[in-house]
Amino acid sequence: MNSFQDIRNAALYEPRIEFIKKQLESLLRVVDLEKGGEVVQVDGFRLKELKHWLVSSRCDPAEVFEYASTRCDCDCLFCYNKGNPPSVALGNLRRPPKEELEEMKTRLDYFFPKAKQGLFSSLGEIYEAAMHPHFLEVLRLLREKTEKPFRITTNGKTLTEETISHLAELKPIYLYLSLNSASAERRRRLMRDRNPGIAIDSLPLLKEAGIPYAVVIVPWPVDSLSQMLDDLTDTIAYADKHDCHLVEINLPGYSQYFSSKKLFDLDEVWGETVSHIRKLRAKTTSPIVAMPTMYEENLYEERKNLPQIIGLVKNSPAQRAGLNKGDLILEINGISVPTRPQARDLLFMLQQSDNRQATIAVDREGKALELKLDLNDFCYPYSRETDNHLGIIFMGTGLRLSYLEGLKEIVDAHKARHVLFLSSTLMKPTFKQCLTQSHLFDDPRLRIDIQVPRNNFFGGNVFMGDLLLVQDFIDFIKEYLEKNAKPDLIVIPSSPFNLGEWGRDLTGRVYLEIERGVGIPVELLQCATIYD
Amino acid sequence: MADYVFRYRLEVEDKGEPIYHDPLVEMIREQMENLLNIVIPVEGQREVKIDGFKLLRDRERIYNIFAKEEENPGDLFPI
Repeated sequence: MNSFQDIRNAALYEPRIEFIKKQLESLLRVVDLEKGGEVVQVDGFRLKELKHWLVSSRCDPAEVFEYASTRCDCDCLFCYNKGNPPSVALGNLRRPPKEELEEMKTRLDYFFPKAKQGLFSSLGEIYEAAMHPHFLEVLRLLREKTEKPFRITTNGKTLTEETISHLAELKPIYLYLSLNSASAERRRRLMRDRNPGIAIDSLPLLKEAGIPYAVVIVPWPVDSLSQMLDDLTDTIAYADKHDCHLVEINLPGYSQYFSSKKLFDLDEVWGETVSHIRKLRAKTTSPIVAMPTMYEENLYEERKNLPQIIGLVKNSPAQRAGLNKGDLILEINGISVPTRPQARDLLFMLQQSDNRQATIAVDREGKALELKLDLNDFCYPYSRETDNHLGIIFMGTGLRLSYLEGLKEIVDAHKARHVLFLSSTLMKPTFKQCLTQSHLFDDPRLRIDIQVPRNNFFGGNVFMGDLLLVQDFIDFIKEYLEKNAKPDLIVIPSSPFNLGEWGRDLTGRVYLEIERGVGIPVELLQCATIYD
Repeated sequence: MADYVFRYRLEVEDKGEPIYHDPLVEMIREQMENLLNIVIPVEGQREVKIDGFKLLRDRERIYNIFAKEEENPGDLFPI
């Protein structure tokens, strides 16, 4: 008999299972079940027909192979898994690898990419899938069902020549390689990797095997800030030398569960790092992004949400056509693209299409230029299967203006005059700018108060809006009401509740509890989670 | 090959203080609260927000579905 699943895992993505559990428990408090005249003691339940539990799905292969990421063979100083609060809806399900394989095989049996259906997923522990003894076996089985790229995050400890040759047989593959440092000594120290040479030496091997990869770095100020920045320079130069597709810098943070003491000054570390990256971009061919990207935009860009190029994938059609870092895209195939999401959407459509050419008009230092792109002119590390925007890298996703139309509809439906809009530190400046520029909210009787709740739950220096919980919102609104007039509507972007389709926060609480807690109508403004 | 079995544990005894001490009222309250965390009732096309219920045998008394944060658990007074 296999193990019980953790109900908290199911609660986010398939709360009907949690519902069944609670209903059964509620009933069993007032009745006993019988069989053949005898009371039957039950301590669990199981899903009957798995085909009844299919849900619509993008059928990303990771929906299956992520169930292999239950263990890790590194012990990173900055591992965010160490800072997860106990009530966050992450299961702590340690099962024998063979049992995990059985679940993955069953998930594969119900993985239907053509019908875009799969078994409900869950938020499991995200560790190192590549170290699972059955990882390659699962990838091979997956490849029989889908041609979609496998996007695999790895610490690189398994990336020997042999493993890379196996992976190369399963293309398209894209790796997010958590290198963190190209210095063996520093990587050993940061990640407690006893054999750092494997990951460091994997970069040229990946290139040789034709597997594009991003080098991921968490710039953790373990000694001094200057030492960290020096190592960042060296690591980026090493990645650039071996034609990495992208350098992704994940600006460091920690929750109160990771450390109750202040470990570093966030604005100092983030500000210095971003400033350094901006200098490195000028010397580096590979594109570099610092995530969350809106931090850089808020610091440096007066006008936000613009389709300005910050990097170009080597040997991509965009790079080969002569586009430059700093170019501001004006038009794509004659269509004006005033915002970044519009540019990204059009580029994505072109990337997916059979078009052979595209024309991009840009503003380069005040001069208008038009460049023709040959969409078949590319080679490694760019690829049609794993790239999205013809090789153009922007400063993040940006804010879709259609969200403002969504907000207008909500406000009108409620005939609201005083709206409390709960944003985030990172998004507020862009949202405010877009709101000011829009004519949708010209009614002088309408007041939209944009506020930013604190992240009490995670604490530490975590300030991402998408990590806010139901309780954070309730606490903030109650504080707000002590000092301000009661609004007649509260609007919250849906992104903190986007993990499943059931409006749950990271602890599994439904957003409806906010309205029940504060007694004011609460609506979610549907918007995508910003992962960059 | 047989499907992997998705099993979930039941914890009948592990329950905090009830909102209502009448077990049959509490059972109905819990069922409604659980249901209202996964559905939104509608009347015609219009979404309806509810926060209580009455028993058909006693239309005088209204029971709260949701515990308010500041309220102590235990039997609530009729609204």
